Amino acid sequence: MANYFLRRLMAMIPVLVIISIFVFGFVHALPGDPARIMAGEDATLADVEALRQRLGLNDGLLLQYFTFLKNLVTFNLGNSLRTGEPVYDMLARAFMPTFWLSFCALAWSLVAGLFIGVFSATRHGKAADRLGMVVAVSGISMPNFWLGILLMQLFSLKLKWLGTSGFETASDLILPSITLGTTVAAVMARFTRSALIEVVREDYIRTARAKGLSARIVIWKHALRNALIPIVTMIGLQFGFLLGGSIVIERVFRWPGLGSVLVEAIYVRDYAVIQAELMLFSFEFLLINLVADVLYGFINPAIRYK
Amino acid sequence: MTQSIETAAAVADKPKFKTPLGEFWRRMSREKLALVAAAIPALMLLAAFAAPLYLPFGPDTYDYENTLMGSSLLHWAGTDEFGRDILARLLFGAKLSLYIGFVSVSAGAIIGVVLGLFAGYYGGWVDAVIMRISDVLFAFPGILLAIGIIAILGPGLENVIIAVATFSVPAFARIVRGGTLSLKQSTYVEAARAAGASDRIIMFRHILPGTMGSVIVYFTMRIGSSILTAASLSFMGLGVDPSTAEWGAMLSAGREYLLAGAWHLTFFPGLAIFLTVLCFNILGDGLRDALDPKLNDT
Amino acid sequence: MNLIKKIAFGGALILSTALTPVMAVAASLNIAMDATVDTLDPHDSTRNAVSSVSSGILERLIGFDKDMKLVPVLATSWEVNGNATQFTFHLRKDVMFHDGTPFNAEAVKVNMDRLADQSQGLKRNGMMRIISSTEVLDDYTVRIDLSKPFGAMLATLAHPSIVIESPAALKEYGKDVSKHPVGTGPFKFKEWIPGEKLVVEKFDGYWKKGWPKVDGVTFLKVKEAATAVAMLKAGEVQYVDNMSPELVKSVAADETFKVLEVPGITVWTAGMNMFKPEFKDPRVREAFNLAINKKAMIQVVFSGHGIVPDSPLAPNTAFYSAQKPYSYDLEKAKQLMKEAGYENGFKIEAWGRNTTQETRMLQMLKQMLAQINVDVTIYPMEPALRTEKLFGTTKPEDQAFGLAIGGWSPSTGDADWHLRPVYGTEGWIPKIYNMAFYSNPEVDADIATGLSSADPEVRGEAYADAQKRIWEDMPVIWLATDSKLAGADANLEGVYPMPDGTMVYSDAELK
Repeated sequence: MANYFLRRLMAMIPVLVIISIFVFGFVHALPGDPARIMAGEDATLADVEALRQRLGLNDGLLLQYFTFLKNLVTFNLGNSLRTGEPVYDMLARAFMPTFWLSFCALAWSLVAGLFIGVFSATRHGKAADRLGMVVAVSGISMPNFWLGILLMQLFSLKLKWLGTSGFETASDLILPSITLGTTVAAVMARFTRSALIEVVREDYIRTARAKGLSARIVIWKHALRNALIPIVTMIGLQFGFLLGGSIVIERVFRWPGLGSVLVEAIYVRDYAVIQAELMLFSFEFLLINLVADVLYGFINPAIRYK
Repeated sequence: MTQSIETAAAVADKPKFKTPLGEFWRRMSREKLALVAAAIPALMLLAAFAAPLYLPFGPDTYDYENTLMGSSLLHWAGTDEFGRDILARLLFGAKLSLYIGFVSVSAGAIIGVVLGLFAGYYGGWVDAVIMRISDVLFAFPGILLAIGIIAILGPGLENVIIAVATFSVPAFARIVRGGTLSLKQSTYVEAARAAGASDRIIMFRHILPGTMGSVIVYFTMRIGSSILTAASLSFMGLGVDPSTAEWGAMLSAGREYLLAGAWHLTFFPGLAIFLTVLCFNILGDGLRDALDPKLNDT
Repeated sequence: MNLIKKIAFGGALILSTALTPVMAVAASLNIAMDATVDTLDPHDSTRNAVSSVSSGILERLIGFDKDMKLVPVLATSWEVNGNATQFTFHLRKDVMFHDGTPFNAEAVKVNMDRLADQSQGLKRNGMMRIISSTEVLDDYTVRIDLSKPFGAMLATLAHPSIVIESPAALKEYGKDVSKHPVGTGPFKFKEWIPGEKLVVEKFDGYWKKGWPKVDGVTFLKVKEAATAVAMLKAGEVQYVDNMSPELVKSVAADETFKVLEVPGITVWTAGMNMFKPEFKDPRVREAFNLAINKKAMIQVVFSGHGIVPDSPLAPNTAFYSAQKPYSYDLEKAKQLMKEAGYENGFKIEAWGRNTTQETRMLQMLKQMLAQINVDVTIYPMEPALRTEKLFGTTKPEDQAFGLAIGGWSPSTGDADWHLRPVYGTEGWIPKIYNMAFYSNPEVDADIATGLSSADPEVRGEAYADAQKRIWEDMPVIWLATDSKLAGADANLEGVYPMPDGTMVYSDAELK
């Protein structure tokens, strides 16, 4: 297994190189000239040209690409076109807030999602099942900004229990992670329910029940284990999405995460920052999917990797 | 009402031997709630197409004397910042929003499912290539991908659908791939293979139905988020004209007024999206139960 | 029940001890800002937010009062020669930079040389290209010579970006002075986390005795308007810069808070592309101006916080002269279109940014112009895309738009920096901001006259003539002049928005 893991890690290198070409090409194909945007609308053509020269945007594309690649390999990631700040510092600063927020959101939503999912599945077709669905659907169709602003009005202004926004203390994690996790909890609940219903109908579960095992043991030990593949897939996907930072929630809760760094960079076409962040996201996804693939093997030993 | 549909279907089917479609209808007609759920978006569409016949306002009737009005006898759901009737915009918007939601997710689902099936079934380099492409697509934040796609294709409804569909592809691919990996080891697939069934038959007849449960669930959840995604696109000027009546765009535009005493601007489109997603979820559950072969003897 | 959660919170606790919490110390002030500060060197920035936060750290020779009238700051008085090429400044004595460097004529020279040196690559080098030399006459007298007459020089020196930085700091940090601003202002720089917050603290050696009256100011970046207002109401900030007009009522309703409203100098226009044959006909341009209900537009776009323009310049701009407004008259507009042969209208594209305000303007243009049968396709574009499309080509005849929305605010407060970029032939995009491709030799001549003299009377006459001609030619639809808004704690004094949209906080005082 360790061997397999290592091999997959090595295999990521050529994939990342291909991704880097794609990312570079995509970012440079975006309409919009960083020099023009950064110089400001009242800048003269000469000013724009001077800035373009200074930012190295007049270099050949190939040269720019190799600079980008060299920066990636040496982990210095280059400097922001806009502020001159090292991109590495910018991402390092924003990564932890995003990580904590994603982690907390995923943690509570997994627990809640699994619980509602099992609850609904064991009452398949009954009123309680429908209630579970209504809760889940509310979670997914409630826009993030709505929920966020409402929670802030209630807990920060009316009850005065929590600060409105920012990330200064651990309690600041509460409102944004509730908001962020709601969608995830909803998806997890629906997924767990569906996967369980599928499995419960399988013969071995009926056998287990026929053997007189209690319903609870059957569900939690046998059924859930076998329903785990789609659930693990979904957890991986959701965690990957969360780590990308949420633009809306970071905005509403003034969260200093990766989403706002990316948005700001896109606005001014700060190539260095956009590229580095996209590479980071790609790497995260590759890693998460690798872990998910390994977990598949644990859950169902029949899925073996050559 | 549903009772009569059920009996009618049952009567029509009973004398014949079971065709798959007939069987599906027989089972589907048992899912009464699902039928009601299917009827609601249909009724919304009907109401939308008939709206000019009974509504005193069009979706583009501007009235600068009566902006941001709350609910009244004249404007049931109030008016927006331009004095446009929100109910009229909701009804007209149903057409576009349902269309964008349904078509974009369907397109994304079909492509994603096929890719996931191939990746999971064949494994090896096919798997590696497909999954790495989907990793890249995942890694690209939706907004950036949309800016890119729209920059290449230009703004407009079809391109919005393409952009939103593209977001959906990798998730469907991953979900189906995971299921396929597990199912291809199952005894009935082994049996089919031993019986000499072709890869195509095994994939589409034996494995695909087994993954449908997750696909349908994700599909029905995705419709709501697609309507919201399309909205954020149109609000960034990447989608349809922002003056077009469309639920998601109404929701985004109303956001500025959430704390300004005009909560109805976001509440009603939010409610419309909620109802739609709820209906599709109930319908999805019903469909899945009706399609599930294992449910035969219950 | 949920161990994972406990671990998560535990970890977050450990993490949070590393961060210093913002304590609400009585005499310290927190300000919410919606815009990004990307540098602390105003010489290298075109952003209002940079001007705003720098205003308490770095000072200028000349500044503006609340109404954009010139007032002495680091210069106590000045003389100008007749043809506006030589400017002599007498400087304030006993002024010290935060790093202990004395402020004197040499310090001014270092800054002017830095701005005039076009090889520096600073974003404000262009503004001072006109300087040929700066001479130190004695310790507290300095003379700036220009390569050609420039009547707007005093106003340009008062521009928020033309600040005097410590020569020692410029020497020590070089380009990195953008992270280490050292000036003569009432506050000295303490800490900056880009995209998050900026902290300044009281400078004890400030030249104005008894000031500043607060111990420090923290600027927090708050993009979401609703969050900024929630923070104000929760007491986490005492001032909300650039408050969204939709939320004015909710803040004003509570008497522990106040709303500050200042008439702005931004004039919002929809430029009519003169390369389109339809807009060559003045009747069409007049019809467009009459068909737009500007009062309704201000109501919808700015929640009523603005005025209908009555000149190409806003009332608070120097040398403004009022004209007769074009009031909403649909019948006359239809009549004019008929006379011009466009009774059945035509099709055009209207471009703008995808901001809430410009998106609303575009929708209203579409709806109102439809009433004179003009079919407008609107394109609210992502700002970078708009910049690319408007400024990416040097051939005006290639531009596809019929109408382009723009808002210009002359941060020098002077007529020149509004008329020349927006209505002068030299301002044609992509050179500056003339999006209508308007060109009138008489207006250009007036602008040149205004520049060649420092005599307010000569300049006033020239600009009055230019305004009258532009108003008659109607190269744009004048849409609105919006107010600059801020929300504040009722006890806070001395922090307010300026008409150009920047903020000043040097006189902050919590009562």
